[in-house]
Formats: sequence, structure tokens, C-alpha cells
Amino acid sequence: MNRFLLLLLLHSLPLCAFGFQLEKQKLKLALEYENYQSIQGSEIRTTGLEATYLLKARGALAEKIHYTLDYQTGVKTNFYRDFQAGELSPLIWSNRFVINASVPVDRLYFGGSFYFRNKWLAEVEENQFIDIFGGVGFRELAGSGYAGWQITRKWDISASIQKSDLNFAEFPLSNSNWIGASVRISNKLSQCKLNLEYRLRNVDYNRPVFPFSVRELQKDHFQEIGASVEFLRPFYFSGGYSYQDNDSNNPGFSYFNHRVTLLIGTELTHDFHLQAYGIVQRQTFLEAVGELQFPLLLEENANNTMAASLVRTLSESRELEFGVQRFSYNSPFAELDASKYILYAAFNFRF
Amino acid sequence: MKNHPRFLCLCAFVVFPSLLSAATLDTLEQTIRETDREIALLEKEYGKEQQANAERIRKSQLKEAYVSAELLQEINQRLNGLHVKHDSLCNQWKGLYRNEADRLLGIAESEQQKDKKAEIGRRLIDLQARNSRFCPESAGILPSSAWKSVKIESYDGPREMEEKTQLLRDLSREVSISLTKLGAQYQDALREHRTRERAQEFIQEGTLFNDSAGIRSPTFTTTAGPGSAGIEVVDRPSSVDGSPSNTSGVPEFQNEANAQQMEAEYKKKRAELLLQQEELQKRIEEFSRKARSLIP
Repeated sequence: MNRFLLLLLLHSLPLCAFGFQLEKQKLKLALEYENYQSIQGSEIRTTGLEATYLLKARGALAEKIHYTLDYQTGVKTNFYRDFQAGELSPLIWSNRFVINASVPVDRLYFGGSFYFRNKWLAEVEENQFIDIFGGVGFRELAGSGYAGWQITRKWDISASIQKSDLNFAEFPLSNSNWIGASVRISNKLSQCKLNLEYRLRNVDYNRPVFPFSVRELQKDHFQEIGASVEFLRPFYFSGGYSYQDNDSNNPGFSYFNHRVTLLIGTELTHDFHLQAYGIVQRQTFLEAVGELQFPLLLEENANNTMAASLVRTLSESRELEFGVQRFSYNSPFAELDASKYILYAAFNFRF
Repeated sequence: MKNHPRFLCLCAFVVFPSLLSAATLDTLEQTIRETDREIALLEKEYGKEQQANAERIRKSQLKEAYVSAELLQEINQRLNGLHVKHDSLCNQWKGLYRNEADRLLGIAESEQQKDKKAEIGRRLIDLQARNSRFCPESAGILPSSAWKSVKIESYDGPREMEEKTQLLRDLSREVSISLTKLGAQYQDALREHRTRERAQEFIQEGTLFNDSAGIRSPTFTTTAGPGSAGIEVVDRPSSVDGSPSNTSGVPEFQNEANAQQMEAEYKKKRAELLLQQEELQKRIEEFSRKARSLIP
């Protein structure tokens, strides 16, 4: 209850205090069918209900400081929860909140943002089934300060420093906090926009390098370089590639990762809209010298996500949506190999 | 269902007549294109012959030069004929263009639905582009302030006044087309912006409950709790939900700034064009009044 009140305060206070104007509100009510399968034979088949609410608002203080607010919350429940592989949580509550303030000064701009994300899972009495595609409760907080320069109407360069804190509800040793910096260069051509990004991050975990010892905790040095392209015509397309490199003092935690993302959207005839996205990752863990302390995944892991939805606009405020999502995870450790797909039909209200 | 009669009306008043007039415009366009092609070929031939003739004169081959001069004259005559034909075709084109543009502008003005208005706007853009391409001399496009120099002179007779009024009407039409064009472009940009937002909304919704938790220990496939914390390996790898984990932490300032800039520019241009149109209408009124007063 306290969490709920805190969240309510978080998103209503700035709205009242700074005279935000609501840009968009959307309520989505969905009926879902979910199918989860692992190589060990664990199978979950269930239907459930999901409700999500999205709010976007913006405002300006003294016409100098521009604010944007993005809040999303959702609850999900399953009709069938008891399976041989374990019991599903009766209720999942997920929130995402981003507030950003920027001050443009001629061609320069300065700003800061605050990010809150959490997922809460109602406890089950025993043998909780953990869905590797999002079945873990956590809370993440992040803040950043940034500065940018619009060199021309086409070129933009920005840099930021960020700090984040991540806590897992049931796995305290995996809690971490990181501090990082990033640089982005954007070029807006007549038909498309190109981004080049680099970021680095130092992550401190609560996890000891040697089990049951707190003398030395895990520290990672993470770097990422990526490029992305975005265009609006003849349909919306956003695609990117990034290379990630993680160097850890904990054996078995150093890896490199290739990540490809794709997002498209287009307006079809008869008031139909199509959206789709895909995330493909190939993560390779470097082999440690000597025997590892943990039963960890090594070598190459593939983690793929694909989703598509078709929306039919019924009126200015009502929509009907049908969608599919597919997740798969493959690694040399067959115990973790799993795949999941979700089919849903939703009714959306926009106001 | 409620929109069906509107749609039928739109078909009846926009599509069918425009198909008929488009056929005439298309026929004219084809003839103008053929005439222009002939003109280009003859001009090429004329240039070649002129060069050869200069060479003959230089070499004192006078007899051949005389024959060549006759050929040049003949080409010139044919060229003049083709230019006259082109002008006449363009006059016909201008008449049809005026009618078609006025008709579409009338429909665009009365149309309430933004999407249909934008569609008519796109047809007008296409029509204006064809007009500038095939008959640039009849396009009647003057710099935005040049029409201000069109004034009533003391020596203007009824015919001059009629010509000047017609010129102002042509300019007013071009301003109206520019307004419709601007509106259509703005609607297209808004639609693109909405499509982008929808796509980003979709990925945000898709990752609200289902984001890979990055579990890396096989002991987590079924049960895990604080008791097994000693071997827990769980992480939240970067996803695409707009979190600082996966972006540089800087919002898409350029996109936001561009959207605001686009809206501001649209409003400014629209206000300018509306003001110009208002002044043109006043002047057309004034010129028409004067023209009427000159008729005995």
C-alpha cells in the first residue's frame, strides 16, 4: 500500500506542481494465452488477464525548463497457477516511471532525468515457478545528468553521466549499483536519422567473488558501442546493432555480446496499424582459467525476442488489438533452455 | 456506416469528375510532352547544323554553306511552328488546370475529415507539380511579395484591368494550393509521428512484464529463495524499454525539438500565407470593381 501511495505521489506531484499538460493516456485490457516450455519438460499453459495504463505528459516552467513525464503501470493475473514445474504468482504488478527536465540555451541543452522501474510478484506458499522471461521481482532506480549541443539542424552531440541502483526482491547477492557515462552523436539526414553511441559503466555487485566470503565483491567494467538508424518513410523503422564487452573480476562473468534490435510500425488501410519488434542477442562468456565457483553458463547463449501486433482503430478513443510475443533462450547448459509465446487480444481506450 | 454517404459523395464529386478531367489533362500532357521532345530534337539538329555551317564558311565551301543555311532556315521555321503549338497547348492546359485546381480547392475547403483533406492536398500538389513541369511559363508563380507591384495605373483600360485581375486570381490560386499543400504535409508529418509513437508504445508495453531476467544458474529453473542465495546469479541485462540501462541516458532531444520546431514553422508559414491570401483577395476585389467601372 505504501509503495502504491509513493508511486501515486511520484507521478501526481510533478503534474500538479509544474502544470503538466496530459499528452496521452491509454488503458489496455487484454486477455492472454501463455505457453512456456523448457527442455526439461516443464510446461506452463495458462490464460490470464492483463491491464496496463500509460500516461505521457509535458510541461514548462517559466518557458525555460521543459519537463516530460512518462508513466506506465500494469497488473497481470493467471487463471491457472498450479503446475508440476511449480506455482505461478497470483499477481504481478509492474511499473515504469521516467521524468525528464531539460533547459535549452540557444543550441545547447542541459538536463537531468530520473527513472524508476519495479516489478512486484505476489508470494506463493511454496515451490514458486520462476519464469526466466520476466518472472523475477526487482526495483531499479537511475538518475542522469546530461548536456548536448545541436551543432547544426542535422548534427547533435550529447554526453551524460548516470547512476543506478538495482535490487532484486529475493536475490540480495545479485543486487548492484553502477555509475556510468555515455556519448551520443546523431545525424539527421533528409529521410533518416543515424545515431552512434558509446557508453561505459562500472558495476558493483553484492556478490562475493569467492562463495561465503565478503572480502572481495564482484566488480564489472562494462563497455558498449552501438549504431542505429531510424526513418519515418515509407514506414517507421528503427534498427540498431551494439557490441557489448563486460570485464569482470569474478571468473565466468566476463562476456561479449552482439545485440541487434529492430522496431517497425506502419499504418495500413481500413484503420489498421501494424507494429513489430525483434531483439536478437548472442552472448559469449569467456572461459575462466581453472574451475568455476558457480554452476554458471558459459560459451555462446542465444536470447531472442520477437513480437507483432495488429491494431484496428474503432473510433478516436477505442481500438482492438491482436498480438503475439515469442521468447527463446538457448545455451550450452540445456537445463536453462526455454521458450515462451503469448497470444493476446486487447481492447484499448485512449483518452 | 455513418460515413458511407459521405464517402459516396466524395466518390461522386471528387473521383469521377477528376478522372474525366484528368483524362483531358493527361491527353494534353502527352501532346505537350511529344511537342517538347520534337523541339529538343530539332534544337539539337539545329545546333549541329549551325556548327557544321560555321566550319564550311571557315573552309570557304560557300556552295555547301548556302545549302546548309537554307536547311537551317527550314529547321527554324519548324521550330517556330512547334513553339506556337506548345504555347497553344499550354493555354489549353492553363484553362483546365484552373478549373481542376479550383474544383479541388473547393472540395478541400468543405471537407471536414483531416485524412480526406490531406488526400485532396496531395492531388493538388501533384497537379501543381505537373503544371510547373510542363508549362512553367503558365505556372504564374511570382515571389511572395512580387504581386504587390501589380497596381492600377491611370492609363489601364478594361482589357489591362481584366489581365491584371486574372494574374492576381492565378496567384491567389497558387497561394490556396500552397496552403492546402502545407496542411497536407503537416498531416503527413503528424501521421508519421503517431506511427513512431505507436511503435515505441508497443515495445514499452511488450517489455513491461516480459523482460529477460538474465538468470544464469541452472539451479533457478524451478525454485529459488533466499535460502539458496549463496549460488544465485541473476541480472537485469539491457533491454529496449527506454530505461537508462540501454540508452545513453539522454532523451531524444533532437526529435522533440524537431517536432516543436515543425509545429512552430507550420503555424508561422500558415499565418503568412493566410495574410497574403487575405491581401490578395482585397486587391482582386478592388481590381474587379475598377474593371467594372471602366466598362461603359
